[in-house]
Amino acid sequence: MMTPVVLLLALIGAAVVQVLAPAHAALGQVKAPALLAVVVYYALNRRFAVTMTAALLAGVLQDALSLVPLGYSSLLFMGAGAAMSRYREQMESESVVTAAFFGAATAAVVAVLMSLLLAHAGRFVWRPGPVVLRVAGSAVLGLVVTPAVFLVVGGLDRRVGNVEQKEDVAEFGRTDEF
Amino acid sequence: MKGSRVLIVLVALTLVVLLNLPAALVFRVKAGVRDSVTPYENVLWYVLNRGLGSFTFFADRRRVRREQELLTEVARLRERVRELRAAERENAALRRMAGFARRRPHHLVLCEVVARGDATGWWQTLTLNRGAAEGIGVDQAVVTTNGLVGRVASVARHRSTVLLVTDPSCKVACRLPRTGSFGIVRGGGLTFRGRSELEMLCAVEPLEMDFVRAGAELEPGDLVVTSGLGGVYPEGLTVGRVVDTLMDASGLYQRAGVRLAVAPAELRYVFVIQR
Repeated sequence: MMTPVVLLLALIGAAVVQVLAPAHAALGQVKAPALLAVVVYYALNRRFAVTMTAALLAGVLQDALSLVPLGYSSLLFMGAGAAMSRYREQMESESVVTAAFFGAATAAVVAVLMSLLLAHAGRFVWRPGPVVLRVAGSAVLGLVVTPAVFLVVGGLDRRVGNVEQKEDVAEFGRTDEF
Repeated sequence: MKGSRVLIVLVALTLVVLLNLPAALVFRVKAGVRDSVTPYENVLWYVLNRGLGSFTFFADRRRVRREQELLTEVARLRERVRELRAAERENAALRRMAGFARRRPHHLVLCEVVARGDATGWWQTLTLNRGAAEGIGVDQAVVTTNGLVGRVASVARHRSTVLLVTDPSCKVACRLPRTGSFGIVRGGGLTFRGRSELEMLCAVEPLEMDFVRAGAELEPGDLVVTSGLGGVYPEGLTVGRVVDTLMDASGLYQRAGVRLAVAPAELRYVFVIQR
């Protein structure tokens, strides 16, 4: 019942942080992928339909707060969410290492695909150097930001009773209520 | 289970619709979403920029307002001087032309920079604290007292995004007043060399000016100003100064490196030129 509320709070919080957080030139000027991290959280912890909803909304938010054409981020986030949902059963989704790994990998892949999409649409001047730097920067920031998002959103989920405490999760598995 | 399938289908349909929305609707959707996030953005921005220094902020509020007024006045006067210089140059030619339309003075809107870079970081942008409600529109020029900053790329009700002239996708029709030759200036993007600060986009390559007449005698230090062609940027805005030149491989035109007149890293207040 509280899942939509937590999802909305997580998305708005992530969007605000993503907009206002400074970027560093050494990381290719990439912003911390907080919205993507929320999608990763839902992909690894919730059922497919919730993941897709989170991905769609996160993408719309990211596109609205940037110059990216509407729908591009949603498309990539939904693709990433679907791919992660497929393999999540083989992963220990509560682990910080899993969060960091998926955060970094997804951010890098999404950055590559986004650069190609934007270049194809004529919105971005594709230069190998900056794109490589940007992809590396996305991976580094995804590595750092995703575990933090897992901590915050996971804590919020547990607090409102969306998921059981850690020991209960091990026993009963994930809560798939929307 | 059935509910999940319905939700997935709805989400997929929404994505298809989003990707195929007409431009006018995209603008409205983006502005609507942006406006709904702005209050939360304002709170965090206030906490970060004002809340932490609240003691000095409340004490200096009057001084800050006075500084803003002075800054606006300086910009207005410089804009007036620029217009007069442009008018002086054109006067002789325009006097002979029938149907001469008198130049309308531009109205400047003082805006504060609330964020650097958009939510993705794919472009070099600034986010300003004013938008359509204050009369700001897409493709209006953004300047400081030192020169051109960029153009407004997107607008919400109380927010606008400025594409900086340093971004490779930003192109500006320019002129070299000393030689009278024209060219197209575009951003050089980021560099891996030089100074790099936390507030990004500080280490920028010089701008690149293309299509300058092959016979033009360019010299380092030559002033580069907007030509007024293209309709986005008013004529005579300072862009920067030439740092080096080279002949294009084709031999048909020259290229020039241009050092930007404004310092993007230090921008706190900018002006939007309303048309």
